[in-house]
Amino acid sequence: MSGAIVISGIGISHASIQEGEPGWEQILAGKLDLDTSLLAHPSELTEKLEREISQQNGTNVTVAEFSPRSKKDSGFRISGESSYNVYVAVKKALEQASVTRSRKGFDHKNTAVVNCILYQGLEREMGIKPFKFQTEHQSPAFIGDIFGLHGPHFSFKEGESAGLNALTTTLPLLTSGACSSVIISGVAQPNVLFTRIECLDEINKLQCVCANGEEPLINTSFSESAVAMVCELEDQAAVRDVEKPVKYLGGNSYHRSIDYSNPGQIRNEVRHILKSVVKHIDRQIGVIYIDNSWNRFIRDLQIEATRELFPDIQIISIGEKTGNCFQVGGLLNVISAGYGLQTGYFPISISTLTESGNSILPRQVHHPEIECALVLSVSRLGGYSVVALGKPEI
Amino acid sequence: MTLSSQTKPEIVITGVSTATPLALDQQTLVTRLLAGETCIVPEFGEIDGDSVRNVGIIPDNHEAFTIDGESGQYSILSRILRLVIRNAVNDAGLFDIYGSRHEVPVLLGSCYGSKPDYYRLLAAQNTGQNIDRIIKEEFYNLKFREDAVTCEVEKLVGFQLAKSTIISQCLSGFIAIALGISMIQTGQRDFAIVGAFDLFDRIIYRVALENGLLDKGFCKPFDQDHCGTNFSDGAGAIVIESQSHAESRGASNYYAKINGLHIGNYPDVGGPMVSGICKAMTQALQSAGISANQIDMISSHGTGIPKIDQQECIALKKVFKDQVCDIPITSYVPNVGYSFAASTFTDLAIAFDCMENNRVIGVLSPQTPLEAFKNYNFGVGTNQERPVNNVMKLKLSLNGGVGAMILSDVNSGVS
Repeated sequence: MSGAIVISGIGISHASIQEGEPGWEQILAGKLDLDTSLLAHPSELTEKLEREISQQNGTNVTVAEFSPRSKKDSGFRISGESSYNVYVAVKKALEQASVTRSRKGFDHKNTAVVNCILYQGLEREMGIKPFKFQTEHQSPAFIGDIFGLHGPHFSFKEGESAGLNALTTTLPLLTSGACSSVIISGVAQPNVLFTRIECLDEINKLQCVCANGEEPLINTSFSESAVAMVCELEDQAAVRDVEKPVKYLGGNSYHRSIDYSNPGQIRNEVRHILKSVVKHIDRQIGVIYIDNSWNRFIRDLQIEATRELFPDIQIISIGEKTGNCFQVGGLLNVISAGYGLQTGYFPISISTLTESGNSILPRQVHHPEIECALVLSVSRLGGYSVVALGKPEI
Repeated sequence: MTLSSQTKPEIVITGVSTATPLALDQQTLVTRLLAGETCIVPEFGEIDGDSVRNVGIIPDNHEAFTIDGESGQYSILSRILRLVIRNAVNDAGLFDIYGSRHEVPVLLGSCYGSKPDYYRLLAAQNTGQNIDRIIKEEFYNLKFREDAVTCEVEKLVGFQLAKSTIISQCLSGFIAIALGISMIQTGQRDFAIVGAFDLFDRIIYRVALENGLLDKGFCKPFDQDHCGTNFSDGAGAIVIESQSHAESRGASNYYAKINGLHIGNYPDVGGPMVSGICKAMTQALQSAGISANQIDMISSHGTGIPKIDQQECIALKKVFKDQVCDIPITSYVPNVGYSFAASTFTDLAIAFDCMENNRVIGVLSPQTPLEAFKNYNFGVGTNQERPVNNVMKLKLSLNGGVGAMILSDVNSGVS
């Protein structure tokens, strides 16, 4: 047993992906281009949001329709769209891991199901059934139930970094032998209530930070997305001949309170956590993914600190193409990085973005020589996470 | 998921702290239990117009919350977590050893996490009030209270925290422990602070009431008259580390060794199946390398919710056979209230005292046991002096999760 961990299957359920279409290729092929990325000055945002919310039922860019397409697929205790979205993603991930075709080597009974949560599981609108908000917490239990996974099921809550936090905190269960497989999942659902609260508060914070006259722009291109990935030991995946599973090389997560008036502190923490992971990696870092954060203040600090530490390494953000998927964004980055390591094709670097930040058509860049990718996520509440991924064939 | 100390570094518990409404430290907790007193507020008043007795609410103005002259500045949850984590770290003697940049995993479980008060918002919406104002003034603070707690803990302890909030209903504390153990056994960390918190609030009250989970009087686990539980505020934390690390740093407290642990998902409508509970207990025993007859005390789930009580009793009989008539099966929920995920740590603190002093502290229920289980040793009334070297802690959740943990005396020689 090598003890190495691999990601052997991934699944995406995204607003712009039709049923049956493959997942992350869409990001690269441009089919996931939201094309309506909205940037607004804070003074305009409240009015803009109010208008968009009233017109589009709370999702101001993409109104996703995730209603079950057939009763056959919904034949379990669906108690909300969140659960269904996760179900679709997990199903795809298990299929890609060759689990549904052949269960050889895959121990369903000792598989953990982990969900990442942004904050409380707010549902779409007011006036919903009481306690429906619990459904996001309950998703892992439903998934465990429907797929016969008898390992533990639980959720992580750590703002935007919850996805990567779930990865780094849970995968030791594989190396310790406690679980044979771990399914990491998450679903992002913008809604009226969330949009109101978050944007208004964010404006206040940014106005405070940018009192020097700078005019911050806020990316409001939220979108809905559910992601799942199957993680297991490399030896176990090899039994099923899983094709080129991406290696999980390590990671770290911690919380450090963010002081919005002290950008230097945030840059320091970004450098610190990147170093804490890189010192254990024996491969050359080829590319670094950063958050799809709608909070451009935090995102820009991530870029600055990362460039300072790795001046020659390409930095990628796929947020302009996927929309802001909150805590799921980190997992989307893992998927995109994994795809790049498998195929050599990565999405365009954000260093080529135009000043306005939008109107970029997605393009691919071919870097087959890249052997290692880092994925960084910073929650604006102070969650820091980094995951390192490795090329499969090495 | 099964974890064992048999083949991996042995995990010991070197610090503990709990808080219940009338006992904000474990010494007070044990003292009150030994005297047969409850640790929940006997009269609470009304919730949503209902008169509810015997629910536990930690008083917001308790003197124990006056930490460093900062009383009143933080929410009740913030202060209770500061209290238990600081006390647990103090108890383990970790303050003197590590510098401020040391990254300490603090894994906290919570039944549901913090909850926005939907009834407040729905009522406001229905009466045409300004929801935006309520959201900004009230809801926002609620939503971020746990994250605010983290920041305060960080300032208090001086560590750089690797923090996560883990949510898996009542099993959240168990999962926090399991993740902490995995981090240690894989060499990622030397030790971890694991805990849980939950506050009783109107949402829980309404859920419990509508689903027949609440006993408005004293709850009566395993009693013929059981009809629900008494919910309570609570928080607790323990420090776990490898035994070699504890010895190398000269730890002074060794409460117990976590010899075996099993957590599984065995769903059934409304709760775990008997077979799932049996499997969890059996797996935990196997992972600990001991047999059922070596267990000296069973710290049960024992909430007083009829269906769960009965399934638990049936499962205990299947695994422990006739020993259920001898091994004390304890539930301290009538004494301390049921604080969801946090009650795991209350029960562990009580178990530590029982192991240290070779006694089983008497419980208040069942006075009239269920007929089918009347021969079980429920440990009612008096404190029993008897050797307690190995304890099984059982925990269930309504969404199908089952956890069983084997605690052993560090010096018992069972390994």
